[in-house]
Amino acid sequence: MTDEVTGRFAFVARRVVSLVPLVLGILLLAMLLLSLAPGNPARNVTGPRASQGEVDKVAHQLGLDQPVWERYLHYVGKVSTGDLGTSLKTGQRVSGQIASQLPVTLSIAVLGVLIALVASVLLAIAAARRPDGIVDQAVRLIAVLGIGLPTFWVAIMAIRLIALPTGWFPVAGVGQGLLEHLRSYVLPAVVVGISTMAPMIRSLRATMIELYEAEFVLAARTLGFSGPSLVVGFQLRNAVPPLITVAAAQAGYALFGTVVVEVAFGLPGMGQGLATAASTQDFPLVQGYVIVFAVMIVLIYLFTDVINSIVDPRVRITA
Amino acid sequence: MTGYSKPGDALQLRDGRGMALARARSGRSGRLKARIGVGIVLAYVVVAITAPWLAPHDPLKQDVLNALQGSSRAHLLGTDELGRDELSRLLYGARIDLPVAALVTFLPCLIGTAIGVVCGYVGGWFDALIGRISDLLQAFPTYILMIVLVFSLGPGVRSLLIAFTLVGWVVYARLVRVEVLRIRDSGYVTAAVTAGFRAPRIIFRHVLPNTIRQTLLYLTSDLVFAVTALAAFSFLGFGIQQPTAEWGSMTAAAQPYLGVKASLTVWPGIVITVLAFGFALIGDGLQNRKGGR
Repeated sequence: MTDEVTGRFAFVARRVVSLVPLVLGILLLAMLLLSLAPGNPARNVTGPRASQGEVDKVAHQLGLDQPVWERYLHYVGKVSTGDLGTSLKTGQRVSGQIASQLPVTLSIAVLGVLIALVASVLLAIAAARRPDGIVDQAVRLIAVLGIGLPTFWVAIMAIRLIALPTGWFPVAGVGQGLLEHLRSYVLPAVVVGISTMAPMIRSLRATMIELYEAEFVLAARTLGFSGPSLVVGFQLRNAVPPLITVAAAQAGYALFGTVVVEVAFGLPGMGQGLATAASTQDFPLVQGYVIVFAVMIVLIYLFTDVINSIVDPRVRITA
Repeated sequence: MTGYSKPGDALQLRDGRGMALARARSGRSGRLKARIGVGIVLAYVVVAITAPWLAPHDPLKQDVLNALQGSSRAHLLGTDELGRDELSRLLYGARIDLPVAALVTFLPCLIGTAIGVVCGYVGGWFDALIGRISDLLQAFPTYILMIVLVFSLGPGVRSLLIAFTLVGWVVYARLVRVEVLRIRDSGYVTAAVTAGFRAPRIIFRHVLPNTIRQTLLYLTSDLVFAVTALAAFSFLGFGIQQPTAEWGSMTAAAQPYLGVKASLTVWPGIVITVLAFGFALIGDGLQNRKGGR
């Protein structure tokens, strides 16, 4: 038992350590890419009519007169203490602004992925009962249609067809209090769920059908297992690791979906923030969003590996 | 399949229905699906080519006094928020969304395939370097990377193309590399090498044709993604900008008028969905024909 625990701990620790160079690489890439941006960020602060001297002064304050590698080291140092710089437009701390928006984005993305998981499990089980049957055909159609539906459009249609006529959900923005918060997240989360569920349905359906013919399931069936105890206890249980992997791969898409949905619903989350920061050329802010989003994805991958290592102990040995 | 029979073969537990029958059926429905998909995409191609003749009005001509009009004889689908003819804008949108989606899919595919062939066939330090770079790129959240790139390069087709290419080549390179490694050690390639054929001939005549199936399958799913993602970028304001008739930016521009004239946001979405559905059907059909599920 202790071996089991230390083994798991060592596995997680190894994974965490391997993430450090990855995060450093992401930071470097983000800075390099953003330094390609057209226009002088310093001129962006001072306005078009400022003199060259003023622009140079601001550029010096922002550290833009240093070479990229020096800025990178400086930035890494600052980020490691939790300082993401200050916004060019508002002068507020980037970390503060992102921290206030993070709960909105996380709630929608997590709720959305949960909705997608539940929907895909139900639909895939229904479809796998009789491959090529009428239910299976319908589910496959949903899966094919699902990947082609533009998220922003589903969001607007949800506003038009559900939020506006019923008045159950706010059309834009967030209300006060926990219950009001949840109420304004339901519809956006459903939209994110719809936009992410198709690959999960496909993958889970395929695994469930494959597993129905697997030898251990045949053995269970010959032993008299049938119905839910067979489907859930034998098939679904073994279909979980690949489903989690697909769901994790979809996490990036779920975050992008959240960005789009926040803009469509006018929700004060990181997606809305990123879109605004990008349109106002506020590059420290954009940089901050990029890093936080990237770290979120990296953490999701880590989380997936850990979950998989718990569900399927073989992962620990091969990884 | 292995040579020995599995318990299931003897027991025939599969509800009495043979696998062969199911395979044949899925093969036939695969062909049908692919045909419908090709039909849809071809229809869009025809619209894109003939838009100047099909469209009743100039898609950019504003008529603010007649904005947000309902359907009429002059404007079949009414007018948008600036009084432009909605039908003409939808038709002209095919000239933007379709070729740009194709471009942002095919360019990464070509570049990725070329890199994958070199990695798989030649190997060495180049393979190792590309492996490192693709690891880093794959760990980077795709969409966020694309937003950063489009932000850095400014909105427009050129930025979208660069962003999609820088992000998209990785999968093709990996796919082709693995296939090339598999094929390189097969009998017919060894035979071709022994026969004294030069590397380019072996690659183009013997190796590449055998990797195309996998690549094609991924390409179609990539096209589905490109159609919706392009529109999404334009919706966010990072992609193709107004006044160009593009379905994503049309939706964004019409959203404030959702309560007044919702059809302005409904139509572009339907047009995008049907095109994406067409590509998805082709991909699904190819997958079925391959015998996969």
